[in-house]
Amino acid sequence: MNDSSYAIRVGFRREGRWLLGELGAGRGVHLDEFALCSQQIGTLPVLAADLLRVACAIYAVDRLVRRRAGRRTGTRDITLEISVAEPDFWRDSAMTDRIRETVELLSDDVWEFDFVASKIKPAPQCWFDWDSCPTLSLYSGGLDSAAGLATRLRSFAGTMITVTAWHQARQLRRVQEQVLRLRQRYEARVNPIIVKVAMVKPPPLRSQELTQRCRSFLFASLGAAVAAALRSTTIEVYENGIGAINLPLLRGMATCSRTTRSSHPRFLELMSQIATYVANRSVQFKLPHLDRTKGELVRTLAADGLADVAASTVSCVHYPVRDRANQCGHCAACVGRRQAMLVAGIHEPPGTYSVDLFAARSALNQLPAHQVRFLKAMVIQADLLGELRCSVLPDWFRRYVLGTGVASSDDMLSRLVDVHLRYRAEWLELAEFGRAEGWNWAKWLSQEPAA
Amino acid sequence: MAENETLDLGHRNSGRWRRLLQRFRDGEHVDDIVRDATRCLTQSSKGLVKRLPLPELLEAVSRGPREVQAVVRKCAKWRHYAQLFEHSSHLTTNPQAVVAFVLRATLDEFLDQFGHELIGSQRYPTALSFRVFCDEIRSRTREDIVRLSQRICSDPQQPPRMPARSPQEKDREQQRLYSLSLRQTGTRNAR
Repeated sequence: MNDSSYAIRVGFRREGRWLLGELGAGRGVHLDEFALCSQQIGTLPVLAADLLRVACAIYAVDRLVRRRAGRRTGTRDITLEISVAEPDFWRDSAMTDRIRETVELLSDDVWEFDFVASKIKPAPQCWFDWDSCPTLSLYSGGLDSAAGLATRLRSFAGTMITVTAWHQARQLRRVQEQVLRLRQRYEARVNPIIVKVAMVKPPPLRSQELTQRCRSFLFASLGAAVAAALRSTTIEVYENGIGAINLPLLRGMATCSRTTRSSHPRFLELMSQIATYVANRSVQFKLPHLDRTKGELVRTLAADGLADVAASTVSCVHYPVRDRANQCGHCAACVGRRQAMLVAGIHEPPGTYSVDLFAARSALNQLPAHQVRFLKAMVIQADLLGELRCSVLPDWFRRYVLGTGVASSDDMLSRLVDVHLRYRAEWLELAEFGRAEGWNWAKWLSQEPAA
Repeated sequence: MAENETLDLGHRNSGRWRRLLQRFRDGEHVDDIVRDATRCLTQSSKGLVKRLPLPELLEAVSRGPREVQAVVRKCAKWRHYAQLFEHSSHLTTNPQAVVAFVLRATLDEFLDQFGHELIGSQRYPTALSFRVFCDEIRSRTREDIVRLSQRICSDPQQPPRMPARSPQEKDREQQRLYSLSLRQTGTRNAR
């Protein structure tokens, strides 16, 4: 992007005072629009390019404005002024309200937006014309993406375009290799679009806001922009049902951005509305694997001889920042991954993780508390999910599911209950196996005696 | 799309809830724990009255979740509790029921934190054993929660009063404080 193409003015309130700053495309944040041009889709439509500007601004500011440390309610009050090609379109209250609602759902902060005219307008029209509208999918190179795409390709005829926001070291090669392997295995037409997204000269990580709740807005916007350019109507998100709904591990996490909503059904519904406005025709984000657990998805990879693809994926939230060689093994994503891999019968070699919580005779009491806490929280949650078997659903489940807009009908509720009970059964089975193997944590989780 | 989760592991500054955790740890009688839990919830509801625009929130509850959302956006302090009002307003439009939901959610939140600390210990070896114990506490605090929510809704600007301690409780607390004081004196003498 050209340095002078647009500017982002940021205001945020702290301790009652307004602080102002300015970021510029190419200076504060970088999105490789040229990559989009060279990868099949030509110049983006104006509104799609604008959407990416808005998403980049939100992504950068979300990382740069820190929540107040040590406060339970680290709510931020942020005002953004973004220069776009079509300010009148974005100032329309229907559009502004949708963006605000979407970002507030993700981050639990208070956001205000204003849009001003940009000096340089991107040229409209695509030069590459597709015969038929391809199906798009967001692809991160994680376990859910790979397993979800494999499951989908089993019965898919047509052209699939995977869209990746390349924001992590070594992600490019990983995604290319995975897509190539899946393409060969299923003899499918799968083409990747990989777009570099990065902060330019960001401050050190310790000075950044690490929750990064709004980055999924950027990933989804990238999908929406490509959909607008390719005239696609469907963008698939391969997240399992448990991860998409992401019930808080501990019940106090239901609010104030402690729990990520990156594939939350309500978020995707709002993104569908934004994408539809931008493309000026219906574009829908879909979760085809909402009824499946991660373990069930990974079983596809195991059954189709793609265990190597599963092993090549990365789930860790710390990788490769804290440990360049391994995934940490103890963050929520690592614990979830290990559970799914074991459920699917894929055994990873020793040394894959820095900390092995699923090792025989693992001495949990000798590990620092922070390395055990996510595993413990997940075990507690698996136990608590037993309450879903009651005829009356517990308050905490209904409050989260209805309060965050996951479900609005009884049918949807029963589907959600079903997938969560299967997930719990997987944990119980794993704990039983673990007790025989001598895993210390396995003693925490026990089957309820039959009534 | 793995992202950082932040576990809600506790309110290290809240002495009242810390004392309740200690009661769990010491395996005290369920009656004592329930009494203390009620006291903690009363204290929390005092905070709700003082720090949230409660009359406005309760009025919005009866009009529906959208209205509540608009009020919550204005809550800079205690936003966590304000959001609990918002989530609960999707279940009912009855203000008293919503306050009861919020108080129950507050109790659940702390019980989960206690569980995270205590499960695996000798007293609570499994998550199930802790959950069964908590179920009893939940069922025995139900009436107190209803009473508190009635009280809050009848006058949302007046903080509820703390339940009085019985003479036995006062005595027990005095003994506990004596022992702390003696321990410190002993240390000083030893020096």
